[in-house]
Amino acid sequence: MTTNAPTLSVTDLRVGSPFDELLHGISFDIAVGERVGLIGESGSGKSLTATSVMGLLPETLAATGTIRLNGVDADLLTAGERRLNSLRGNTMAMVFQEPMTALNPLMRVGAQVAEIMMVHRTERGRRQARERAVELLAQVKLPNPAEAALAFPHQLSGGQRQRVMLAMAMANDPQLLLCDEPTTALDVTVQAEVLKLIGNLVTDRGTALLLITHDIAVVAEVCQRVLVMYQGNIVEDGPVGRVLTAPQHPYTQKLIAASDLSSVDERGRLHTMSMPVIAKPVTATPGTARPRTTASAPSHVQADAAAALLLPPYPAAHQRLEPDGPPVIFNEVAGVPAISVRDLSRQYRRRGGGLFAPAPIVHGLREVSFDVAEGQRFGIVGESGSGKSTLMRILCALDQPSGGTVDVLGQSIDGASERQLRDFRSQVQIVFQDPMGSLDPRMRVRDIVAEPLRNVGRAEALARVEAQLAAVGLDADVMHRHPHQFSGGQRQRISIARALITRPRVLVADEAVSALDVSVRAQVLNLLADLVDEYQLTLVFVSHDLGVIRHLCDTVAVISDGRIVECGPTASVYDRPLHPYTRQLVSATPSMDELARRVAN
Amino acid sequence: MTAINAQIPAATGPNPARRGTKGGGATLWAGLVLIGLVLLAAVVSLWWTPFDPEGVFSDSILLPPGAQHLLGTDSFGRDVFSSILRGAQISLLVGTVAVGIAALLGVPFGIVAGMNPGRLDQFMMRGNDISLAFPALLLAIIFGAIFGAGTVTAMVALGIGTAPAFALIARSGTMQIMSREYVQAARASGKSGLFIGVRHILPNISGMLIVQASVSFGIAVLAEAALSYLGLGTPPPTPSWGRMLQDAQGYLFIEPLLIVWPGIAIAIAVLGFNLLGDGLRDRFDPKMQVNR
Repeated sequence: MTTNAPTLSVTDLRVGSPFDELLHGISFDIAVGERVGLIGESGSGKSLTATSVMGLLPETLAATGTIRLNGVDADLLTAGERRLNSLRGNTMAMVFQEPMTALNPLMRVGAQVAEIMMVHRTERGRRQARERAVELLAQVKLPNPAEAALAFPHQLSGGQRQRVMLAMAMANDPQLLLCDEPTTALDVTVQAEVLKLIGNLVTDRGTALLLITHDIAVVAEVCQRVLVMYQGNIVEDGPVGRVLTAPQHPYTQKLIAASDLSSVDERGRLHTMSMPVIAKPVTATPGTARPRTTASAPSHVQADAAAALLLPPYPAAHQRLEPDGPPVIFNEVAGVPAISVRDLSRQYRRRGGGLFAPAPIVHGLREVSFDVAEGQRFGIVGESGSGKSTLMRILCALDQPSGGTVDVLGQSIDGASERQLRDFRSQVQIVFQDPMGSLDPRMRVRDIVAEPLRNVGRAEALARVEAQLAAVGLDADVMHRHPHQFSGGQRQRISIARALITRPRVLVADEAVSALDVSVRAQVLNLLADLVDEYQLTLVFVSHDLGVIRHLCDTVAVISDGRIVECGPTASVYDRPLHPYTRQLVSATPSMDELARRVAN
Repeated sequence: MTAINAQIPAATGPNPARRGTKGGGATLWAGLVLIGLVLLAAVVSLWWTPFDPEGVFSDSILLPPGAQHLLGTDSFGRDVFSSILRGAQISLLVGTVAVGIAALLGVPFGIVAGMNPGRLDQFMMRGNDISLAFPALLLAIIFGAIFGAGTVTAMVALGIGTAPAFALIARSGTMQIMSREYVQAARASGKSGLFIGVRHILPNISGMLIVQASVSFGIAVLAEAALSYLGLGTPPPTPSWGRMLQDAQGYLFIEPLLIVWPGIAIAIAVLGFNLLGDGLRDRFDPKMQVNR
């Protein structure tokens, strides 16, 4: 290795499609062994940067500028496929977001790791490569590496698969490791472990790291330096600690403010990113709607801390489930609760098992009991597979429990017929996570929003749709468009409008902001908070993100493995977690202040 | 359908590879041109053919192709070119009606099965598998034996025989759409199964169904020709490509060209619909995968 020369040197990189320039001449260096984070929202060009370095740009895009790798004489942009192939997986390696699709499902993982070494002839023979593969799997902390090497990808968990990907990337001791959203598909507690592993691996071997993510917490966890991308430009470049605490560029300032769900302005609202400071407007591509600025949502409700005093008798007791203890009724409400769940369980028969063996039974929920008071903002937090989505589906009567009782607004849901639920349906509405999948692409916005209305004439329906769209901050002229003409945040507003048009009393939100960019997330959260106040809704907000729940909800239930393990006032659960699982969860989702403190140490 | 993917908010950033031209260009156009030829022949022959294709002309039997009779004449002295033009009518009629019947039967069947996973779906689809295993042509022959051979019998039998393929496609599409959140939202609003099926599912699987329809159209045209060849299709004197083949068989060694012309006509129609189907598939499928 040459001294002083940077491992990666990118100069004036421009990438353009025939219609548009997507990267506007970015330049940066990564020193030997340096850990650099590249942060930006969707469409900022961060993934494009990584694919340019790897020489994986799609053929429709043209790149100019130079990309140099230490010790390689050629410019990577002009190097031939042959040359690039000898570098990829050898001198530089990449880890992708989704480990399930990045691994070959029909090949044992040990063989896949060994293959990387065989391709580049870094091990002498098949046997040596296999032995080395097991060593590598041990280094990425897979339990029983020798056995794990014989597993197929589907037999491993998401975190374990990502560890295999890391083993493959590190197999040939690359000088440069590129990670594109390596932990976005993982649960928060797993994410923390994988990030720590990435950090340790590259530090031990002196590998330079370029970590691409939308999540500022991820960068803070692993990197020394951070590059902030915005609309195809690098707008800020500096040490993580400095960028976190004293961002220079207006975009970075707004981004960090919007990421911080624990900080609110004087009206109790999250900082949003309406950005007049940045001159260049978002270019409207043909057939897409021009992004609108922040919602002009009804704000005659003072959403300050004093409002909490007007709420029903809170706070609820802070309780936890003891191991082998008796089932607990969490958040028990005196009087008539809006939602009352007792001994709720749901089992599934999983497909498969053996060809002739009986299908194994999976417990989605086990003996869950809790209340939600009228007007309460009740958060349910848990990781994938915890049973939180099952619970949400049952609360909306989209699924039937296997045992126990569920009463919502005095209506018993378990075993109720669709006819009995008719009134319930207009009283309980739902907002989904995926802003793409939750709106029918073949319907116009007016029909989508009007869908839940019953026995309402066309003229009145249109008037109500218009009013409802205005309430979520959209103009009336969006009514005649189709969903694909809107951005993610706008689609989520349309979803919210659809949910509220029947004037429901209970709103269930399933990861309603998880698919959104940080800036849009803050806007949608503010809007939700406003509307919940204005319509006096009882809110059940399901999420994996403790930060979002902390901001929006007054009470939170932590759900793990089909059981509520802890429940209480949000602040109390956050500050004094009782259950070990909650503690793990809280430490895996640090607040912005906590992050800055960690970086400083 | 316009290119709509520029805005998909994926956490990984933009995927520029999704931009670009719509798929299926050349194939689609080739299919449209071939079908256009068949359609033109059918429409023109409604009003005009060079000679009467349904009479008997003893003075012009088995003439070779020439200036007067472009493709020659057959054993009854009829102009082959006129018969080919008129035959396009029967082919298109049988194709349209058969595909229409198949779609009307198969699509609701498939949607109902797809919307009711579990016992009902299993029951319906096993029944569907059985009818799928039963050749449409054999069904048409049986129908012909029972109800008497003729164009209507052939159309109905081919329609029933190709319906299971529609049911399969409709069911798999329905199952995909049922997992979408907009269907969940509609259910959470208390919408009936009928509403969801008609307003949400049918429009969203229509792309797949159109592809299936164009492929089935080609199959029906071919099957009609086969039935007419067997004497179970269109009765004389109405010209049909399949019966022209059958008539020509007897003169295979005297006038081999007689068997070539209807063969080419059938090939053009079937190829046209298959190309159209392929082109439409290319056009619809990428969107099916990324957009939903």
